[in-house]
Amino acid sequence: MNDHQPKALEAAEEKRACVMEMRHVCLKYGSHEVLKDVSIRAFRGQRVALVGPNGAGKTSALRCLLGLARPTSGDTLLFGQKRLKQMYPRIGYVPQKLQLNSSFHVTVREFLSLRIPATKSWFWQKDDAVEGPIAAISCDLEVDHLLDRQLLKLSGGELQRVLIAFSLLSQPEALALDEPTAGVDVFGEKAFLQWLIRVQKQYQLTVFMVSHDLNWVQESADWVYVLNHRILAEGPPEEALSDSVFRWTPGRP
Amino acid sequence: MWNEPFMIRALIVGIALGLSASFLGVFATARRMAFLTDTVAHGSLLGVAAGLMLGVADLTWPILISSLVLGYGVMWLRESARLMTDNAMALIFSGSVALAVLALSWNRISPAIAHGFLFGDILSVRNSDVYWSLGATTLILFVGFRYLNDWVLLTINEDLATLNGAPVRLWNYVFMTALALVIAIGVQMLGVILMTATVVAPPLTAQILTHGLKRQIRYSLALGAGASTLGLILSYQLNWPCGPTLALTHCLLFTLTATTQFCFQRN
Repeated sequence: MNDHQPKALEAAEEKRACVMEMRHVCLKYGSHEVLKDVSIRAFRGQRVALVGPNGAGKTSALRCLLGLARPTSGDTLLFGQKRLKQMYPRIGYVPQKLQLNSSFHVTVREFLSLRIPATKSWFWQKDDAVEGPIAAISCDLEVDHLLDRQLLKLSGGELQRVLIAFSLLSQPEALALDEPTAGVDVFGEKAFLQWLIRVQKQYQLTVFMVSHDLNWVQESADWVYVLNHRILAEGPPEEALSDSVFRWTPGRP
Repeated sequence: MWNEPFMIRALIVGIALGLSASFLGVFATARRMAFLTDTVAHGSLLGVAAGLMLGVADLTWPILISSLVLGYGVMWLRESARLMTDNAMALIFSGSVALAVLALSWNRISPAIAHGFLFGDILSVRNSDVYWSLGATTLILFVGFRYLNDWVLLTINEDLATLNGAPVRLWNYVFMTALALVIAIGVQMLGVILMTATVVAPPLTAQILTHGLKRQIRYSLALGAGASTLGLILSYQLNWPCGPTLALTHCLLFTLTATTQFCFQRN
């Protein structure tokens, strides 16, 4: 992992391995400054977490990082490139929730088949044409029992797994997750996060996640950014999450 | 019945509309755009008023323009103004209808003509409407099915679709244009008040009957075309006005399906 590599590593080499990067990004909505001079980097193979209180601009930062929102100033790079859209096939994005009404009867199998690049004419394709890759990924990610369920009737944890399976179908190098544990109950949370670490290692992914789950961040993130409109602290979890930072955390002394 | 030319025209327009409206309806209902459809349909009365005032022969054009302006306007509100779209739409809805009715009364348009546009008039279906409806339906279904994976994905989550390479903003405007087109063709036959049923009812009925989106789309198309045909036959045989009969057919099909399913589930 890069943060453990010797400092002698050349700058150019480091730049190549930087998967997601934000440089001095500011974001304003009218007079409201959501992000102030935020710089974030995620290196290949790292698990990077972005934590902060509600309304701190975490999701905005993630959206800027992926080019879904245009920052007022500053640069965003994916794989060292400024042309973000061309890098999209190499990134998997896992949103926190879906936006639609339950009248949309899309099944998990149908949803997953949307990601298979070779099948443009989704409506006419036969199920067995995409069966192979879907069966493989869903078995591997333990979502095979959900294939015939409706996407909108899944629980929070199930939906997150399916969304991650969807991303992995196009073999990305990085995953960006927005509060993956927000819809997962307390009992499922630990299992879900262990599962996520297994997937990250198996598929050699760089993971960037927005999270409020400090316990998990402390246990398993390699690098943490603490955000409250600006970066308050960064570093390995034990350093970044030192006491001074917990002032904003509800339920902590 | 089928030797009357106006019935043949109405049937062609009805089936074409049934297909395109129900196809768009699958996405409109999922994206909570049912009220938006209703607002645009009601607002199209503005186009009727403007068209009659200016003496335009083919009212489809002014209706299409007013539907597009309203549709894009609501989309713009959604995107940029960060306003409560639902509330804004309620105001647009009342405002546009009020303005249209006033414009009609200023120009002393007879209530009978206005009534025809409110509740639809089967005799108003002309040859040009047949061409409009066939052209629009072919175009909508072609584009829709060709890019269905993008449309489905952006309905599920717009950001996910963007990351998957879909031009989300473009598709949103294409979708709005298609909806305005269907409304512009439909309101003359079905009336501004009753148009929404053809968009909303088929996908909701299909949703009760099936499992899986591909089937929901197929059933929705069949229900759209079927209910139009059935409604037209009923309207002719019973000598009932066409717009309300069609809208009621859609609503009854939904109610029957929902009730049957409810009863079966309980047993």
